[in-house]
Amino acid sequence: MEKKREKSATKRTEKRQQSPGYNLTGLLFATGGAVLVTVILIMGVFQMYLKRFQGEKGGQTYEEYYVMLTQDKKSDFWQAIYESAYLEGLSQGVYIDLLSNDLSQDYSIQELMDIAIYAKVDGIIVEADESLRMTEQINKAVSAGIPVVTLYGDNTQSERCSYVGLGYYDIGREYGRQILRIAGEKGKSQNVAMLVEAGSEKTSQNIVISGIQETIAQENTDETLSFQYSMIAVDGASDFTVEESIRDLFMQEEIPDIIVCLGARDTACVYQAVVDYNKVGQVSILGYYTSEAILKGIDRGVIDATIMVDTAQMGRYCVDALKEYKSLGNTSEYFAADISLIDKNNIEQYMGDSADE
Amino acid sequence: MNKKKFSSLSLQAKISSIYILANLFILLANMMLLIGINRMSNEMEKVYQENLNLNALSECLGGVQDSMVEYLGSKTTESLENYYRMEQEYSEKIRDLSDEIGNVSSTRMERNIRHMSEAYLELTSQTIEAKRGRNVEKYRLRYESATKLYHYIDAYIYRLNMEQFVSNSENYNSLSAAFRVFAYTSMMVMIVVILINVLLIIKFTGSMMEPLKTLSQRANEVAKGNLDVEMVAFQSEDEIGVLTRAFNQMVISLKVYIERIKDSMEATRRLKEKELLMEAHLTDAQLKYLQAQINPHFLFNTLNAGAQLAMMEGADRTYAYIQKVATFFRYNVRKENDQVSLREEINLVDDYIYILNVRFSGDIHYRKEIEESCLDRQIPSMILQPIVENCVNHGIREMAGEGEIRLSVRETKEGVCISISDNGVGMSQETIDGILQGTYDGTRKSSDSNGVAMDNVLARLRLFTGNDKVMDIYSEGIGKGTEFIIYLPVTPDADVE
Repeated sequence: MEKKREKSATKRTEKRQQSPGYNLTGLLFATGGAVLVTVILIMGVFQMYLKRFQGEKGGQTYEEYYVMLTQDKKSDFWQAIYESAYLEGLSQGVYIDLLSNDLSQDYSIQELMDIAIYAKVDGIIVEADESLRMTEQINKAVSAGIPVVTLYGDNTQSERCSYVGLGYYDIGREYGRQILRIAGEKGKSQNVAMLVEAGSEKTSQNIVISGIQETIAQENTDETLSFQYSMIAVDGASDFTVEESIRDLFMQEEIPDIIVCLGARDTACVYQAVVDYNKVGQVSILGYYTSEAILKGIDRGVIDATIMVDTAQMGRYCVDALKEYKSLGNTSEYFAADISLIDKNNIEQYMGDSADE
Repeated sequence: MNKKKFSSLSLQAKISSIYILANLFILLANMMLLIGINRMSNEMEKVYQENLNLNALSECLGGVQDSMVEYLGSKTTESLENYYRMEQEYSEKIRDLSDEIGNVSSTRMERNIRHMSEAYLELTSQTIEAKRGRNVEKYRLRYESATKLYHYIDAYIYRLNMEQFVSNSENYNSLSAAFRVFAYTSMMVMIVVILINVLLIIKFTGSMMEPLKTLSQRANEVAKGNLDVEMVAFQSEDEIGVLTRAFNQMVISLKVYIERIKDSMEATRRLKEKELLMEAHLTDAQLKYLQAQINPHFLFNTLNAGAQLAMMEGADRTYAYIQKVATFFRYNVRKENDQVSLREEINLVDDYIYILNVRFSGDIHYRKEIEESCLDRQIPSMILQPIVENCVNHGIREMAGEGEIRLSVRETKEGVCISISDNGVGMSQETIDGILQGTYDGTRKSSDSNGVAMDNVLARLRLFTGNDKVMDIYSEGIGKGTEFIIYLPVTPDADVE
């Protein structure tokens, strides 16, 4: 017992001798460290907070700035194209704006062209038409050193460097085949109505229509079938006139048997009108582009078929064309995006896609 | 190294540095937090600054347009100056706009506004130029373009303003939320820092006081007399360290001194023992020596033969004389009895006086006053006779007239007091002191002595009684006689035996 105590005492002494003095320097440093770490941690968190605000203002910068000009910026079709072009642009150091998004007012394409030229952008992607005004604007931009790519609608007279469009003639042929198929199912003569944009100087519509007509003429093997074509001018000047125009169509005595839509919005409107006027089955609809509503229409059998456009490809083509033109001074005059037909047979596939998205 | 530095500081410096450090920590934390709060409030102030800037820009743009229109309408110098001023102001303002293509829409809008504004300013100056040149067609056209562009820019600025207002409002909300969080966190941080500081101080003072506590405990133990305490193990350069080392040293020194004192006491004791032993031996030797000096068996036997011869010749007085002389010498020879009774000593004195009177034909008057009860007292042999001899040789013989020797023995409270006095020449005080201190040498001059000197008598008396005060010598001066007084204590050691 006594010995044990002695041992522990000596141990204690040894311990003390091993660490003589206050041995507080370590404690001091530890405390100082703790204080500093705490403060620095707080400051760091706070700094990050601030950085986040400041980061919104600064951030990454890009070498070039392209703008995309379209009248119909809100449609899925254009949004899809823009999205694709935007992403493609980012990968190539280009920032692409849908210019009309920046402005609270709705400007016409020509006005937007003006703005883009004054703003000295590095490239313009524009949904053009064949109007003289457009030609002037495009030429003005080109002479200001801004290359212009026309998208979806072309202006062949202008000095645009490239045109990114669809194979409109192919679209026409697809429509023609569908009309023939529908006519084959229904028999008798078919009244085909084609919705065209009123006052539009887009040549694409004409190509589509001629494509339809030529295909029917060439491929119609049934002599009993006859087709009457009618062009229904849809007033696309404002949001509501399209719908009104289409309703007017259904108020007439003779309702067309087949309606060919050359726009996504037209398709949606016709689809709704057919449902509303209880003409399902009586009126066949050939749609254009895809939206949830259109796909649903196909699934329900209200819409016979629609043309699917590879919008991603279009967006990419625009950026590629501008980039190529800027680096080489030259680029392909014409890029055609792929199209495909969606009907009852393959709708599942697209429904699944859109559900995934 | 730092540790050493710190531990070498004085206590005051240590405590001060700890407090200063603690305060510094708090100050540091406070400052950092203050900086943070300051920056945050700056940021909050800045939030709507952009909107204000844009408003100013818009106003300035309007100013340019208005002044241009005014000039075109009135062509006054004032309006032209106004235009130039506004143009200058506006071109300065647009220089602040970003020229980068960022991923934030506001930066791109700024960039667009900047470029459009540059184009606009060029157009307006061209318009003004055309107006000055009175080129009506041209300035009308340019005016129209400029106005169109003015509306675009205005719309753009408006849009940007709106956008920034929205994002700033969001920023403001999140900033103020962050501000609240930050304020709360700051408080927590301060509390934590203060807690850490308090902990530090408690810990520090605690560990500073610990050695003091230990030290006081040890000191208490030492105060109670326990010198075998454990050493306080503590190394520090400050006052506590000094105190601790001093304490340790003190305990060690105390032990050493106590040990030393013990040793020296032991040595003294041994030395004394040895000294005593040596003294005993010396005394023994002295006695033996003295007795060896007076051992004349031959003389005694010869005297005996002379006594018998005188008796045979019928010379009675001669016989008695020789007999007494023989007895006197026999007494001297009795070595084995170192102590004798007072009676025997007095008898010896009687004999001696008789012999002297015979020799000097009755010159000495001898008187005795003896208390009978004292006669059996023990006394070293050969004490009284040498004193009497001294009286005779130095007192009486050197004077004229009749000498007288008085011997008195009486009992006092302290013991037996033996007085031997003469009426001789007396003694000077110096001689008395010399005799008593044993430095006086005069007694040995005379050859007419039995050989026992006063210093021997004194030494033996002192040894016998174990007392220094064994004899007094009184003399009232030259010619007034001398008195020797011997004090025998009541119960001397020898008497007990």
